[in-house]
Amino acid sequence: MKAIIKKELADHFGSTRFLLIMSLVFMVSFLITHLTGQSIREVLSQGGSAFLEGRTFLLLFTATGAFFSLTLFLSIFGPLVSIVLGFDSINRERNLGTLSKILAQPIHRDEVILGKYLAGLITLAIMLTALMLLLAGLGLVGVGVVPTFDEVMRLCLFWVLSIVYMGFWLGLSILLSIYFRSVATSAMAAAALWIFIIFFVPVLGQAAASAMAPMNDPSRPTARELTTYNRIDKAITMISPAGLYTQSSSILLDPTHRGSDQSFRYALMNQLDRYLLTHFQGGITLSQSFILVIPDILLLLGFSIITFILSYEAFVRQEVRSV
Amino acid sequence: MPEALRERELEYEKGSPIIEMVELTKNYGRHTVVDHLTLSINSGEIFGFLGPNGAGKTTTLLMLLGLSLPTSGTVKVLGLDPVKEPLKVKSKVGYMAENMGFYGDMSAKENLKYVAELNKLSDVESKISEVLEMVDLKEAADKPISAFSRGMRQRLGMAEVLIKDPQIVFLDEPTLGLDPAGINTMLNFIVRLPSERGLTVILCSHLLHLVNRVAHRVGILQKGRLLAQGSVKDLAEKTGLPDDLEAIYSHFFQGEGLEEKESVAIDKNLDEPKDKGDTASEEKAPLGRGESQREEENNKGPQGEKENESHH
Ligand SMILES: Nc1ncnc2c1ncn2[C@@H]1O[C@H](COP(=O)(O)OP(=O)(O)OP(=O)(O)O)[C@@H](O)[C@H]1O
Ligand SMILES: [Mg+2]
Repeated sequence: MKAIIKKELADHFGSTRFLLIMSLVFMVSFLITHLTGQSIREVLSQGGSAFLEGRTFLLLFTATGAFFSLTLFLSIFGPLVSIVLGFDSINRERNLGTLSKILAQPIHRDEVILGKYLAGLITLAIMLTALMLLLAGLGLVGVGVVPTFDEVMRLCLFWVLSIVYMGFWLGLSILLSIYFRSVATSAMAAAALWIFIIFFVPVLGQAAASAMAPMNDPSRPTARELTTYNRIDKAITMISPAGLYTQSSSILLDPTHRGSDQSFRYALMNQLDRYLLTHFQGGITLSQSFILVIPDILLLLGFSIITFILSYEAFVRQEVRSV
Repeated sequence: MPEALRERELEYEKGSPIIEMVELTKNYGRHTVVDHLTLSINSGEIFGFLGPNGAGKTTTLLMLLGLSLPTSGTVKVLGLDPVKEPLKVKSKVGYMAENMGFYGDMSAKENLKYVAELNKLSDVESKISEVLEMVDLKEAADKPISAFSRGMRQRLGMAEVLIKDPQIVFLDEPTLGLDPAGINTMLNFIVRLPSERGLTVILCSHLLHLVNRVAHRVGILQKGRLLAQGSVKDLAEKTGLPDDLEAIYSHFFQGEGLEEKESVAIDKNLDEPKDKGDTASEEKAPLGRGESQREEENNKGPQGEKENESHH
């Protein structure tokens, strides 16, 4: 399996399309952090630091700045990077005729998918580490804030969460490359699933909640109506990896954020000022955050394992011949 | 190589069965592709697997490698069951698929290295140069495969099969898409594998005159059923036909499914399948070399198409 991982890694880092999407992600992230950093500097110079006590550094990642926050950006574009790495991993080799050759060598079939999966995961980890270090450096130099220990730990947990999240997408795209013989079809299927999970499920969640828990007067809902609405909406978010990811990342990096996150999700709305006003001091401690996100991370891991089992099942049953 | 050769001959005495299939059957849904195939292949022989398209040749090979599971029946390859111990079988058997692919952006050397690593071979570098020498691709070793001609790819495929130093090789249509000169070199190469490397070869083809040139024994397959097996001489005796595979073949198919003869002059050196050992000493040139000499003998072949690929 080492040989497979080695070769796949070399392929990833040598492939133009991976380098392209990487530079895209890096450029946008850089831009977001730069603009956010500017806003933070402004607020700091106006003496607004009371609100920011011990949280300034994290704001770099969560504040909406001019466009939208970095976490939101990663929740949407992280999956795309995974898809680019995985959508043709098996079917390209099948069409090329190299798959039957590899499988005629003394290796197990699951080593092939596991090797490709791990190589993709390593690539993602390298990319994310580089990205976060770069942005942290930008924060240190550009804004001049030093992260507290608490903040560093939260960012590390966020790193783990993001890897698990992108790992899920990687597994999903490898699964598609096994199911679909044509590379074009698996690319389309991956794009469709991406749009569905990222953009459609949240809307569906709200629609389902309104349908199942109608409010008499939407402008002034009763407390009970609100909780049922929220519960249904949450339940649907829970089965969506993207929902889990945004929820957990906001718990980790945005600890002062109270209650539910209706305003936060997928909409490009807040100004930094408004953001600060609505998020008061206090919030949850690091250990509390940790306990809160563990179930989400486990759920995401569960999703990844399901995609892997499905991949394995499909791959082992499949005929090896190319046509 | 002689050392390895000796070991092998101790393990599998020449002529003793090295592959045994008993009532081997493969169904795809209700469709029977291989139908109760009972056949043994002997150590050190070149066995020609003949049959029209869709006869089930490739499917049989895949079952021998454990890449496809038999619906019923048993297989033993080197005494091992490919269903239960596929890895052991695959480390001793080389398989050249009918449409073997390569990583186009990697060089010949890198492609070989990957195969060697998947086989967990040691001393990879020297093995690579050894097999590249053998198939006469030394000069093209660092070229990307996308710049390779069909003949060079086929030879690289042969190198990839041989790098693991197998005991058995399965060659599925190894001459597919080659020009007459390329076919000749390939066949001359194949014919020496048993005597020089102690290999057992199964050669699949629907082009019977090619099989006729190199095979010690042939098996004729149609719709998954083995119609006949044995040396051409045995088959001739059985059927009372002249000692000619073509006549035997058309006897079984009654004229149907007979391919058009390619305009390749049959190399007379190789025409007699029983003298495999002697031909080996005559032709020591590696694969791909000596094409120019043979060109004169091949003046029936289409002119102008021939290219000497080793000069790319
Ligand atoms: N995955 C599959 N599902 C259903 N039928 C299949 C499958 N693979 C092969 N077949 C059928 O099995 C039969 C035998 O195929 P096989 O490839 O073994 O033939 P072959 O003798 O190698 O022919 P060729 O000379 O064309 O390579 C064909 O009729 C083919 O259509
Ligand atoms: Mg075939």
